[in-house]
Amino acid sequence: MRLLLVEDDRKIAAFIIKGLKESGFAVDHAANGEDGLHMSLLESYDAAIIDIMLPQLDGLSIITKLRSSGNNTPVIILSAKNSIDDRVKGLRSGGDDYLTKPFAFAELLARIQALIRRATNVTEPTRLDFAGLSMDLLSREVTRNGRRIELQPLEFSLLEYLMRNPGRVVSKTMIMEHVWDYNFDPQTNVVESRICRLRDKVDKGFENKIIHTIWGVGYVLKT
Amino acid sequence: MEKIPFRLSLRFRIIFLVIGLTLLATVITSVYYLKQIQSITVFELQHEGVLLSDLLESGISRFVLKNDISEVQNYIDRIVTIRKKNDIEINVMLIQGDRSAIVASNIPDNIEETSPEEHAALIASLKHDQPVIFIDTDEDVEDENHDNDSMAEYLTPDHPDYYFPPGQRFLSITTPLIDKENKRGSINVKLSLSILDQKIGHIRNGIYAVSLAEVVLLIVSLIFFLNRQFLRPLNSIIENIIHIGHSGIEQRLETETRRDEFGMLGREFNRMMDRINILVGEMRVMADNIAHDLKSPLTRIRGTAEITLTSDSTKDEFAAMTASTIEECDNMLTIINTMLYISAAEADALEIEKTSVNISAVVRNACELFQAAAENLCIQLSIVIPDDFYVVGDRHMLQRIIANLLENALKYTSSGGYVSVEMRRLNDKISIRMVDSGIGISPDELPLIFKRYYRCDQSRSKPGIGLGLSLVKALLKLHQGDITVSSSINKGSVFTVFLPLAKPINAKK
Repeated sequence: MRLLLVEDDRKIAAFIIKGLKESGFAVDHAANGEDGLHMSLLESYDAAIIDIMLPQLDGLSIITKLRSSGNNTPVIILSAKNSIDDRVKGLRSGGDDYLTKPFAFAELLARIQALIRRATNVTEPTRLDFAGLSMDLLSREVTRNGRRIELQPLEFSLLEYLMRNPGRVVSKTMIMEHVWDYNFDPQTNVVESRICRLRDKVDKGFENKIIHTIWGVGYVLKT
Repeated sequence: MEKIPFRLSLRFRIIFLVIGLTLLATVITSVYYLKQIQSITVFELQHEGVLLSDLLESGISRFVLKNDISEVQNYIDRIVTIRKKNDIEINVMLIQGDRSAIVASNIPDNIEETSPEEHAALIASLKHDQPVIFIDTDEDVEDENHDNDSMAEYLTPDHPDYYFPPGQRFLSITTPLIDKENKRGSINVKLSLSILDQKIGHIRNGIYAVSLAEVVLLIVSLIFFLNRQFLRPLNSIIENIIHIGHSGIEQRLETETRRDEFGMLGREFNRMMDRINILVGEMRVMADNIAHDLKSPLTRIRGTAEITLTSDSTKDEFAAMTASTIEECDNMLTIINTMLYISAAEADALEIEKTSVNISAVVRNACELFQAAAENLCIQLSIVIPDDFYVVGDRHMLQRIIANLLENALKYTSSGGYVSVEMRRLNDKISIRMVDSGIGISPDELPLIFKRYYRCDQSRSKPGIGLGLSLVKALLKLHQGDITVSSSINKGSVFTVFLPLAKPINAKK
């Protein structure tokens, strides 16, 4: 998978590139709008991450020009502005997703993967499997190594989200937003408590734990 | 102070307007009155002419037609003498075919034959500025349809019958003379309008003089009045505002004691300044609070990083340092986002997406979400929520209202306590009552808890930023809702949210 990053802030670009490379992506970087447009037109990328405020040519113009030349590369817009107006403007110019700074890297990664998945038309699975843990999305049955696990609805949706993102760190904010449709993160340890319960049911009595906490960042399903 | 060019100033415009309007009004009234005077005078003059010709007709018809010139003359003399008492000198010229003579104005001549030149000379010798009467007893009958009425017309120098030296206007009144044998003649009275014109000229000049005096007086007093009534208070307001702008935000407009619009302007302006003052004060406090709330995590981040870096740290210690940095950053981000969110909500700048929301489900889900956390804190969270109450509003905002209140209730309730949420219908509203067995709020703090950044816990030891309740209040306002609170120290608090109930038409969950 090859990605294009158009971002003028060196430090931001550095950590995004490092993080994406760790996750197995090849990343090209352009530090200004002109270069970004040039590269996106010359090369074929699986997705592009484009900042809005850029020297020479702004991000929205890049996307507009890209789209008018018939290029349909999925684009995530990065912006410091958070108003619905800016969001709408960004998506209308041809962006596929919009992420405001500062953002959690886990969130960026999840969105990139979602975009690529959408672009490659992966069919919706009816079962999810991970290291002996399996979830039937139709009968809502969860088993681990054949042993049935009883889950409350909230725990079920939380585990489903983790299993849909195996090996990827998901943040508390992402869980609040994607699992429970809350667009803010309460101060109370709502997610922690829930993860705690889930871990009790999923990992208790098993040798290898699969729900891991990455302190400060979030949670990850890994062996 | 900015200098306004005179021609753009209000003062100039007032002067210009006053002068212009006054002049216009004076001209209109003068012209109107002059016309009136003229028409009345002309009417009287015409009346005089008709009177004269009628008098003459009645007598002259008797004598003239018998060629009894001396009788005619006597008769005319009598009339002329009567009229002369009224300061009117009358010229009478008698014409009989080729014969013509002036029979009044002290030229008592016999009527004799005159050549056209002599006739003209006679006319020229008449006193044109006095009434002139021509009596023609031998006129050709031109028009069979001549009736018995007098005819009046104006003679100006371009009229065919005008045979006087140019420069005057005449009123000409012609009365036909009719005898038994139908022999015709006419009496023609010509009244010069020159005296009239002269008199009207005098009147006009008089009117103009008086008007001018009036105009000057009016203009001066109007300008003085307008200046005193409008420009002076206006200028004082301007000076006041300039002063307020430059130095004294505490200063107020002095015109507020007036009872007119300037007073109103002053009072409203002062009220606005008061509000601005309060806002500025609040913003200052808020900026201090934000700075404080951001400084503490920054201190922690910086300190931890410095110590980790400068001491012999293990990889785990580095990992712990970065993890805590991320947590601190997320907290700061929450503070900033919440601040922006409240500001937007209070400024009515939040885009609120109004749909029919199942508030029962929202509250139940929120309680469910917090259930695990409550159990971990050993707090009993109980709910009484009827099914399917709907309100119109923004789902995410409603979630936030409920979550914030629940969070507060859990935060200030110690373990072993309880929090109960109860939803009820009250006529066209629903009420959501949240009762906790927490530490409570003292009565003097109760009115302050919805203020931004107010925290009962002054040491700020509990996590949180003191924005939750002000956000709840702002969001409820967007939903035409309200919130009340009652509390007693160490027993707990009751927060009750009111929201207008919507009918569950086209409701979607």
